[in-house]
Amino acid sequence: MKMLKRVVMLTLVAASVGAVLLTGCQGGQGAAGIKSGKGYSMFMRSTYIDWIKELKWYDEAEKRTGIHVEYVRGPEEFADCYSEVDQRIISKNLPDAVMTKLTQTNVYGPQGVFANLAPYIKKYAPNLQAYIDANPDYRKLVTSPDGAIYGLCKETPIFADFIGYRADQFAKAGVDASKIKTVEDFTDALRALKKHFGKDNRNYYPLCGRDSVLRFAAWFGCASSISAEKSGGVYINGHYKDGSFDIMNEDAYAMMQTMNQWYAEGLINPEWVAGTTSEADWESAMLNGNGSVFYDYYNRAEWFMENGGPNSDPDYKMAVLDFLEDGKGNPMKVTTSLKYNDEVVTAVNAKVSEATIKAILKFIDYFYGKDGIILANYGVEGQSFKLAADGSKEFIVDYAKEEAAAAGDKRWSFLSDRLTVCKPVDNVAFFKWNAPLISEAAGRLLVDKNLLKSYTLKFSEADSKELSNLVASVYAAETAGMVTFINGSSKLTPKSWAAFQDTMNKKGLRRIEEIQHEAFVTTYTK
Amino acid sequence: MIPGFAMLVLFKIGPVFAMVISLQDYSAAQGVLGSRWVALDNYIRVFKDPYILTIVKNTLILAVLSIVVVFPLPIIFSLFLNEVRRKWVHSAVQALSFLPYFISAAVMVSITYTLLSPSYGIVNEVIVACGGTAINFMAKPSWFRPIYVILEIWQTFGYSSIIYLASMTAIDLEIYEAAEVDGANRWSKMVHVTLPSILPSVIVMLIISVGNIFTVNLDRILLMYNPSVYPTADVIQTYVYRIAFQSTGFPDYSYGTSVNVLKSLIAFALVVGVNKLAAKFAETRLF
Repeated sequence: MKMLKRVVMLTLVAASVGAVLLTGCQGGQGAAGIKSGKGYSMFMRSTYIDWIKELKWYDEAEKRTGIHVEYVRGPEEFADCYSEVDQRIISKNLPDAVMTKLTQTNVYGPQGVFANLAPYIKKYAPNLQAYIDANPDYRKLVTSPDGAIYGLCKETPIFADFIGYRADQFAKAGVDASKIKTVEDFTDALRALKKHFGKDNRNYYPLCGRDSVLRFAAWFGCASSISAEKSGGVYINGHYKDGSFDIMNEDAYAMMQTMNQWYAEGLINPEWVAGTTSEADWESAMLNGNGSVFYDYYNRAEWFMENGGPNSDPDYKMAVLDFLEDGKGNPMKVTTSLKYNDEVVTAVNAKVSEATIKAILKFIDYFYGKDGIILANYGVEGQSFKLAADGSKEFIVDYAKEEAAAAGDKRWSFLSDRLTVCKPVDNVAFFKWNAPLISEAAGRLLVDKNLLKSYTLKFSEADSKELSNLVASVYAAETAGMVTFINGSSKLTPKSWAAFQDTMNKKGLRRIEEIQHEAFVTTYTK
Repeated sequence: MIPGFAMLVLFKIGPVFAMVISLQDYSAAQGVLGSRWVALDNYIRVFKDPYILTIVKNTLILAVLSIVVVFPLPIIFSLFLNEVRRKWVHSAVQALSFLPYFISAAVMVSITYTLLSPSYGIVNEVIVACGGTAINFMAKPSWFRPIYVILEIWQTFGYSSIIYLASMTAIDLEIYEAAEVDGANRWSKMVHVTLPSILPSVIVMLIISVGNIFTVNLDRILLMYNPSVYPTADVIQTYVYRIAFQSTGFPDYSYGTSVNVLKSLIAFALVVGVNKLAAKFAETRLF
């Protein structure tokens, strides 16, 4: 009896402790303190929240709409944000709206986590409805087979990586950038730079960069691709642009040969090839003269000019090279960002009231209307832009000065590649809002003949899981294998390359391509 | 006892039941009770996964190296340290050896990168000064395991040796005196008195180590991870992490859990096996 009492007591105590802990976990993150219909709470990546708080036009939008958004800070890394969305779903602690990804809304929407916005958009968001009607690709992407809309993808400016280079170093090494047309010319330029700057500096490697070194596939015509006919390489978010390659493409062998040549001649930073450098290492190499060329984010050339370049060397001057051509003068089309980013999706908690849904949609809808589009892309007339005689809009605030404001300070900024609110993007305004170096390069390079189109694919839950698991093993194995061919630890021969391709197919590359192709056909052709 | 029991139930025993999601097509929205049951489908997938052999092999090699190389060192170290007669030297060495235990994996790997950097690392400076060519150690698959093991030794041997040193303090001094009477020198006393006396602690530590055989240091591996070393660095934990937390699509928690359950079952079988062997050959056991 005494023993039984003890067990009962222990159970009660354990249950009490559990209840206390669980209650603690349930800390409400809803729109507490926000008057119904006048605002809502939203979970978002913390970096985006920090940026939003600096934007003058955003404050103006809240003022004009009378709607206030209480942001709930998420982690900095995207993958961690999505994990937190899962955790919040499990603990039933979802704010009114969340930044999530399309695969999550597609699965959790029908399971009752996210609200079907379709009827409410019709009712409360006429501008957004007009946008959806006018953009069938967008409609297909966000609409479920049963007609429901569980999440709204963010529209992104269309841009590509640029080839940034130290114009002053090119001049000193006697390299004429305007003569660089092909990969062979580019390689010769690297050789000339290495000869000039590498003779007294063993740490000098003309070509350097950050993240994956496997970012040159488009220069060789072997970027991953998708069409109604076939899919080549891994073609899902994160692999459209930077990490894009198709090892089954016949030109991939030439890419490996060239990159192996770069490596053997010391033209490319070997630590970057190995994957042992950080972003800071790359930046310091470009600033201290240990590197001269990179192929990276479109505005990085300007970044070096604004972040210490001219301080470290009075001659320091960055420029942006033309995209490369094939031997016949045809442009080698480069990979681009996605117009509709399936990894930055706004979804609404299914448990919120219609008044809150109305507030969320009313706020978003404002940015799809004429005034909202002008506000988010140009700001306020007389304060950040003026109308020119021909009716076009010209910024009257200085890009460099505004963007140099200290972190947390209010500024005018129109960098639409970042998530602020789900809204359409004015590409012209986006590139106008840049330093002259980048605006000029964008006008010169970001034209249709140079750009590959990127597609967002929509997968079923089962396909998405299978694809994720396959990519988790295949992409790592592909990357590792290619690096060994580049650094020479695996001898590159047609036979060894074919064996590598065969191994990757056996690991699941072919199946990945099948799943992607099926998704493309479902998303875009049916 | 009650708080301890509550903690045990809530944080150790309770979460074990969550392993049930390995038998489901788990959805965060539907929870354990609402998710679809798929019987052993996930386990069958594990055995059919063409990548599983590679990561199991990598995990096992790291685990075996950790046991074979890392495990004996603190025993040897503590045996020798126990022979140091000057108390302040003994204490200083013990404190210094224990210090790395408090250094985070991020700092430790960062120090390693700095020391081994082919551009500015002191190790490569020496190699180049001696006429050699700089080696990018952190990018060589063949160097991944030795570096991992060296870091493991650096970080843990001071901590482990404290346990053995504590056991040594409990040895009856009369045994040493008897050994001296029989003409034993310091070496003989170390081998024939100290070592057998701490054997029960060694066995317990060995059983615990075997139980953790698949529990490689994920933080350290992720920090040392790069495409060049994938062939040797990709282990069960990194694979599960990619599937469940770094997923490029929809995370497959159920599959990740089933891989982990299998890992735990094998580790449990090994613990039982080692425990039996210890009982048979060393006449001591953990349970």
